[in-house]
Amino acid sequence: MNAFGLAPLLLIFPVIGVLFNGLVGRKFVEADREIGEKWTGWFGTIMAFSAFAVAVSLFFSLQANGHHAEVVHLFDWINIPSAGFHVPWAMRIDTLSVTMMLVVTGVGSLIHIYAIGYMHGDKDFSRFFAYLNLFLFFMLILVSGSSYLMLFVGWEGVGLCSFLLIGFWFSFVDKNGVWKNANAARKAFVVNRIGDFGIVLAVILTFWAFGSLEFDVVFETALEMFKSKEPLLLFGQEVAFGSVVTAITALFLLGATGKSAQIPLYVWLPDAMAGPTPVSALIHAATMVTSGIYLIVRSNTLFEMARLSVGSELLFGVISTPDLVALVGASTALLAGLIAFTQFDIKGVLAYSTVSQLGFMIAAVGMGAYVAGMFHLMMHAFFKALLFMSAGSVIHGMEHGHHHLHDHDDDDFDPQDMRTMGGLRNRMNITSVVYIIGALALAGIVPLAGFWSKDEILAHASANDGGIFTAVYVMLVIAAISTAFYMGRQLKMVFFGEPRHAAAAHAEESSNLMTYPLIALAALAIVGGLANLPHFAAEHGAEAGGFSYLALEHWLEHSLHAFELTEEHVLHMPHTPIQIQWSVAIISTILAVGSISLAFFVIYKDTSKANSAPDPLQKTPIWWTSVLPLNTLYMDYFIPAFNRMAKWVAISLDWVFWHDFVHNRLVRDMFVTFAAFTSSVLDQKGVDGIVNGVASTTRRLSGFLRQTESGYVRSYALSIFMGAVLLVIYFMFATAG
Amino acid sequence: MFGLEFDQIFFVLIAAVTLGFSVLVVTMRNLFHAALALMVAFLGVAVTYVTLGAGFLAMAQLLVYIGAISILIIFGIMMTRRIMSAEEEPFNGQAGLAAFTAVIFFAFTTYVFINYWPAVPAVSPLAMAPEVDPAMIDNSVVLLGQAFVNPNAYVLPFEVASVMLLAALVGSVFIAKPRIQEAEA
Amino acid sequence: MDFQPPIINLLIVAPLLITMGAGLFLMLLNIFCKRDGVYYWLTLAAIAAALVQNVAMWGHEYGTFIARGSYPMVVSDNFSVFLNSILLLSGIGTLLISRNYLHRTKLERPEFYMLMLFSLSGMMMMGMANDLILVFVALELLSIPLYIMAGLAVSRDDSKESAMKYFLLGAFSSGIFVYGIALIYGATGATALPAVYAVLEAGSPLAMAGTAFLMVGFAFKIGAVPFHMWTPDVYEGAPTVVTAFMSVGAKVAGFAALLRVFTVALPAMSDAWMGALALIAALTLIIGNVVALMQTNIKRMLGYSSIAHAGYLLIGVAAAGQHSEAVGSVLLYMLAYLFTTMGAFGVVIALEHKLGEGIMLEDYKGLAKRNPWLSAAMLVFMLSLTGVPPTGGFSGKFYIFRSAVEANLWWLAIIAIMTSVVSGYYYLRVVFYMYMFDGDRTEPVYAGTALKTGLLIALVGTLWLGFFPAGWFELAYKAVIGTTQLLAGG
Repeated sequence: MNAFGLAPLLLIFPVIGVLFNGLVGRKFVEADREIGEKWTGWFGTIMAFSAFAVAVSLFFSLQANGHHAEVVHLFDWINIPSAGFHVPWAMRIDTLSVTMMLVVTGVGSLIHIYAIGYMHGDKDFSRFFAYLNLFLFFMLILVSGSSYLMLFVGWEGVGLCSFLLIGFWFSFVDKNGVWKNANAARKAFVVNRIGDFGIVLAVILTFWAFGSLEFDVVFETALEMFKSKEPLLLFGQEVAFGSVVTAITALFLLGATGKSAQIPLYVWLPDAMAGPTPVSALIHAATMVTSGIYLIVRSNTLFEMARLSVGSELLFGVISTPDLVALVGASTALLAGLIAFTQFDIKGVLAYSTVSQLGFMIAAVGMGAYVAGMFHLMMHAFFKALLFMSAGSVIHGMEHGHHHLHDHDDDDFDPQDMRTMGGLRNRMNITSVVYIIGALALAGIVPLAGFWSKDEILAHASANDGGIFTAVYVMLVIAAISTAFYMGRQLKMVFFGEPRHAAAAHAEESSNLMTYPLIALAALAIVGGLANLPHFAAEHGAEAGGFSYLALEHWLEHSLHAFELTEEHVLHMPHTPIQIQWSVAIISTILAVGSISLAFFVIYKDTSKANSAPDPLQKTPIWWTSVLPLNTLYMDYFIPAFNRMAKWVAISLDWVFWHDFVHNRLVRDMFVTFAAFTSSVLDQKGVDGIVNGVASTTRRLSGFLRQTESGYVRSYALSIFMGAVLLVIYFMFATAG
Repeated sequence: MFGLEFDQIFFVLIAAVTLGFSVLVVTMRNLFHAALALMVAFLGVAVTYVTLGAGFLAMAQLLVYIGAISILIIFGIMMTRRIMSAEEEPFNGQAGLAAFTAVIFFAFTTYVFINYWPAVPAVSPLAMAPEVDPAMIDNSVVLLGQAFVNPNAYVLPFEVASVMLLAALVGSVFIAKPRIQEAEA
Repeated sequence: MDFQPPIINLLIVAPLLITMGAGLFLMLLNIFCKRDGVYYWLTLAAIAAALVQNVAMWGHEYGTFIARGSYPMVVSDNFSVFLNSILLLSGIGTLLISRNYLHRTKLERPEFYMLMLFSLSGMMMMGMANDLILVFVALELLSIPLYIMAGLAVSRDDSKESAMKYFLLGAFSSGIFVYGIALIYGATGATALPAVYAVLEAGSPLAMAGTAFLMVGFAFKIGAVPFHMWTPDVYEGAPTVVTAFMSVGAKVAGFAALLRVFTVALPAMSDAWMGALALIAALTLIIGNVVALMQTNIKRMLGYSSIAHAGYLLIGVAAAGQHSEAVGSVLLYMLAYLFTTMGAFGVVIALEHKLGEGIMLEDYKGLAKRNPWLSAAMLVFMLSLTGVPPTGGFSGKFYIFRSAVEANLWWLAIIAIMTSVVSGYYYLRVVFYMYMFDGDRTEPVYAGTALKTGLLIALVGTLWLGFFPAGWFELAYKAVIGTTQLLAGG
């Protein structure tokens, strides 16, 4: 039995949700708050669940079909017979896209339920669900499209939804009078345009080079060209195949750095956390930001060809685009991991942590560890969604607590500031337990989900020799250590110790609607690793004791042609270890446990005042005082040095350099100045202004004459006249030439 | 005199008058005077046409440019009285650039005309007109008139032009109407 | 000598005769009938009748007013039928969105309808004229009523001012245009387009200069840089319905004549004019899009936006110098532009509660709350103007870029892509204002039945072109063949 015919429903269900919530949802909520919220919220949720059900049926259909990909044709979209250009609107159902669909709809459904609780009482309740469903729609187009053009449609669509959702509370103005949400939305949109530009160019280049945008055709044509080693004809010039593939993959990388928040375009993601928490969980942790990884995994053949092609050397003749991908990913993982140390906002830590974990995935796919990357993508979707939503639950609890204290109200209270928290494990039992599970999974503590996926990436890096692999391995290990450290710091600051603010002392557990999805995700974060357990001994077969090891790998390799081609010795992917690398696993476990414990000891125990404490890292832990020399060392060298480094990274490099200098100064200011210049000087005053500047002293032009407009008409006329003369001159020279 | 024929002397005189008054048009401070100078310049052009033997063109020049356009300009000046008496600075800041552009324009077009104007048009425009009495051949006005209303020639543009003029008429009435009503009220 | 009667078939110019005749009839009716509704419905009926007759001519090639041994003065082929349909649709669109507007702003005069019909006749003739003289007369027939329509709100200074500016500059550029015709005539001794083609030698400097001046005339009409400066002022000052009408009609007509004249009469010099048009297109794209960023008046912003769109269309025209299929992409883009622009102006009109008020960006604050349907429609139109899939704007841009690439104008395609990325900023700013602000506006939104119908048609058209452009492109592609066959067959 197969259910491929159901595939269109995957897109139709979310559309129904959008229509219902967008058109009539508001009326429901306005008519009766209580019932209206139930209807609109659950309607959106059920649509998400229905899409999930479709995805599950597609999963079983694929298994019944022997894992063979199926393309479901919906209708013709663009058709130019003369150029042989044909883009149907079609969905590609294969193991890779179904994996993404399951993650998107599965985690998405849970987040929908959570949002019913979280958004309770919001005045735009139904609009929120309309946006969420719209996002699901575009995300599913992105992962199910059978061509790069469909992928691009989804890519743009999720960008739009991200913009709408980050700016959902657009009218919110913070205490400094800044339109925080609206600005963050715009920033995300503008920064993403840079990445999208790369995608557009890549898609055009792909079409020029391979004559199609359909995945199958593109990869097949590329492979033939790769085998024949003949140069391509582009713009009437011969271009080496390797250069073309390198250019395409490099442009894909540019797109991925935008959407998946990598250096140098990661700056939008931390700001994006201004949006509602379900949005942070769904879009900016679990799904949309992983589309860059999906794009690279989908194009695995192209990237592997770029790795090998002659003429593909991009930098100094040694680094190919996949290598560049790996380096970008690893350095992002490291940099963002270090920045996360300095954050006080509970969601800020998670935001930089997301950037860092996305760096892990990008590094993995860059090293050719496509399965490990996808594995980490899935696991990260589980535990990061869990962490974000639990953080939302904490924020909710803090707001509740703050609500109770009307007598000594302070306007500066920020429910997201970890310095005001502490001891919440006694007030919010469920939230604290699931949060700790999520944090440990993220930190890579055995046997939680994050351990297996992160370990697989590290194992891959260590199992290969050669330049970049070692560098990537070292960077990723340091990033993993810092991951454990900042998560330990966060746990300590939020849940342990004593409450540092009255609000924390009065915090309340959130409603069941919010906690049940958390429990479900926590379960996934615990057992998720089973999806791709490595072999523990060399002699194990694929099946052992009825349990299948490396299940995800066996499942995904039907969509990853690079594997097949490597076996045929056409391509040469880096070696992927199938056994557990004991040394790597043990080292990383020890380091993770060690740095969590270190965080617990280092982070302050000041119980009384919170906001006045300048930096928790500067507080001396009591434990150290008994060991004097170490204490001095710690106080005089380690802490200041570390602070300087972390601050330098956070402030100089990240904020001052990237945010202020490059993005604000270079990109934005230049853009604005150029626009203003063209507007005022070149165009408005153009002819008038230039000459007026010369002759204005002799001119007695009264205000009245200025208003009669004759002055302007004459300069417009002069502009026409000059244009005519320039045209004539152009034509004359065209003749002469 | 200086080895020049009479008509050459005449041409130089006329050209001097035309150019002189053209310069006056752009330099005089009083707009009304400038308009009068423009009429003289137009007249100079008409006389040039006569010396070239293009009688119809000269008539058209007289009728259209002196009879219609100059009068229109003068009306325009007179109706906006404030400007009629006002002494305007003849040059504004744009003058230099405009002069520069005009010179380049002149240079290029002259260059093209001198070097590339074909001796004889490849197809005569009037060849499309029907056969007429040979005695009339010289009379280009008749030929032109016939070409306008002949279905073999330019009847369609002629008719369309009439609709266009009608539209202009409707428009001018429309623009004038509120003023008339205002004046009556 | 035998008298050979000219071949005249009035049926071929029937759409023109219907609109012109209706205009004349309205003039007579003006004496007897003072009820405004009559003029509205009669105009609508006349345009619809012209549309039916026009569509009936699809698939054939006709010529009429053929002097003996000469070329037809007027031709009708798929190209002109396609364009005339766009023009007549723009007429219908203008009527629909103007119904309530003219009434509430006290601008409803019979003259509006007459002038519109006359102008429409001129526009249609632009695409059908096969002779430079007729092109010029048609240009004037379309322009003169527009000058007056721009000044329709006689009581307002900005309307008068825009009419005056448009008139003065229009007359100036027409002068240059006629000079161009004269030079072409001087070089070839012909004004009929196929005759010019037959006689013209490549590289004749006289014809080169003539071509340059013709280009000035067309570039002025379509609002291309550096002949564009009138556009924002006139768009801002003219009553919004007139702005809508001229932003589609005048532009489409200008492109129609530009395409026919340049591809039929002047292919011998295609290298030169391709290059010039490509340069103009690049300038137009950059200046139009960048200056639009600074605008806070929606009408002015749409004015610069229409300049920018002329840039995209010019890419297609430049590409048409190399391969005729590019003409199809221009036609498709025009169709998308028709629906999207008409729709956008429809929304602007609905919000313009008083003449010239309610057209600032500020006035769109919180529109999503006040009128979700209207703002949803505006969202689609803005996305389409930006060129986001799946809207008509995307399909149009897609085919244009493709034809640019095929004509080896890839640098132009890259500029176009970059500028359309820039354009996203100012189009989406409108969306931003509608959806992301709480507004305190209480002025009513005027969306009558006629306007709603117009918006619905525009919306359906925009989305249809976005989802299923393939069929439309085939139509547009067929609309090209007529032009090229004429070129070959003379």
